[in-house]
Amino acid sequence: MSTLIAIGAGIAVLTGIGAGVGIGIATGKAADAVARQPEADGKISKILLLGCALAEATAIYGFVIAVLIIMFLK
Amino acid sequence: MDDLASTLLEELNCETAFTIPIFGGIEVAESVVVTWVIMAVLVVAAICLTRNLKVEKISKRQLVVESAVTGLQNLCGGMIGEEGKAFVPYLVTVLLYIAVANIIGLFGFKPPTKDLNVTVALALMSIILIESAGIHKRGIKKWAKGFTEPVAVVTPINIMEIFIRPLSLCMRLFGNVLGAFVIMELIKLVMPIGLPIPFSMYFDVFDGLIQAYVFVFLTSLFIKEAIE
Amino acid sequence: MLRLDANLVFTIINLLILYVLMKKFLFGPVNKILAKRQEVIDKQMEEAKAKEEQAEALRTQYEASLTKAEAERAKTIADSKKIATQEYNRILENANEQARQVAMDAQKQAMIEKEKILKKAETEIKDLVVEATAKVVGMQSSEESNRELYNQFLVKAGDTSDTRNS
Repeated sequence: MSTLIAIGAGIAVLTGIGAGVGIGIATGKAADAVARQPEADGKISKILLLGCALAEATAIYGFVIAVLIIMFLK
Repeated sequence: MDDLASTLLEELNCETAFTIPIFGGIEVAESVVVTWVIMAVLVVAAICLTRNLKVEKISKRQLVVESAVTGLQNLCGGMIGEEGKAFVPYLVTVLLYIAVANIIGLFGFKPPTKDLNVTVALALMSIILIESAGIHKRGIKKWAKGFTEPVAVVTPINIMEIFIRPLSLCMRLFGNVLGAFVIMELIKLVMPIGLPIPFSMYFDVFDGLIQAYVFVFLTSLFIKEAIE
Repeated sequence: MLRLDANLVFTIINLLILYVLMKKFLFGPVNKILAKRQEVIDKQMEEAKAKEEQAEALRTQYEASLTKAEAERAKTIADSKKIATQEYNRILENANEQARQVAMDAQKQAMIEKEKILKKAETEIKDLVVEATAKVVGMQSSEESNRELYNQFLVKAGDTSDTRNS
């Protein structure tokens, strides 16, 4: 049983992939934008931070589910 | 290993601070008590900082208070736009509350946003505010009609949005704070001295402030959408 | 960690209380003071504007009076110039007149002098001639012939002087 729980938690944490890809793309675009318009880097970094926080939420959801699985299916 | 897991679970539990001996005992959670502390801190700070404000020849304290308050109001006002000016004080209050609640872990308290009750309460208030703003602005008929836009087929999705939005808001905040808390506890269990400082800087301070900002940002975004 | 109970309601009440308190103790005073300051600034701005307008009016007035004074000055200068020219012309004319007078007088004087000198020279020449003739003639001729010669000369000299005078 505990093996299955561990596997389930591991799968839940796979949501981190999406967050990683999303944040990577966002940061790459932000770097592009700063290279194109260095004077707007304040605004860009603000938007980037916000986007990263939003993208990170998916990873957080996965983490929460994983913790819940571990704690409730014991 | 079992020891570590049980310690972690114990840390994660929201303890009952005390029980009100009516209706068979209402348990008041720790998060509520910490919220009282936060409220006390914020109100006392506000009273102390706004004492004898002057029009001219302002002191440094007043300058700081004024620029901070106008900065926060401009931040929230810029997000919500000109029409939602009435919501700015609420948004700033929520922002201050979540920010303080998220970084209060540094002072030895358990962050109240780790308790699902608090985040659900915040999300509930947000969704009530959003929908009531929409109803107030458009009238109940137009507001109800708004669910069938742009086409009638999406009506269930639009209605689902009422529940999904606060769920997303509350789970994002809760998950972030809980995740940060768990990671910090793990780090503290592994190495209690020195190592937690940089991680605490990120997970407690930076992440906490960012999440407070995101919560208020999303709420104001939804309100703006509702009153447009 | 995961429990939903009465604490949810407590939290909502807490947040509402916090909202009211913050509105009363933080936003109220700060916004009031900001509004007051804005009012003061507006008032000052208005005052400054009024003052500026006043100054502008004064400036216009001053400029007008300056222009007037300038015109007056120009007129005075022109007048005095005219008078001066007249005076100058008058003085010049006077001077010219005087100079002409002087010149005329001098010419007259010179003429009189010349006449006088001529007359004197004539008499002297007459005497000289008489003397010389007497000297020349006295040696070889008589009294009569002398007189005749003299008369002849006189006639001749009278002719010449007549022709010259006429």
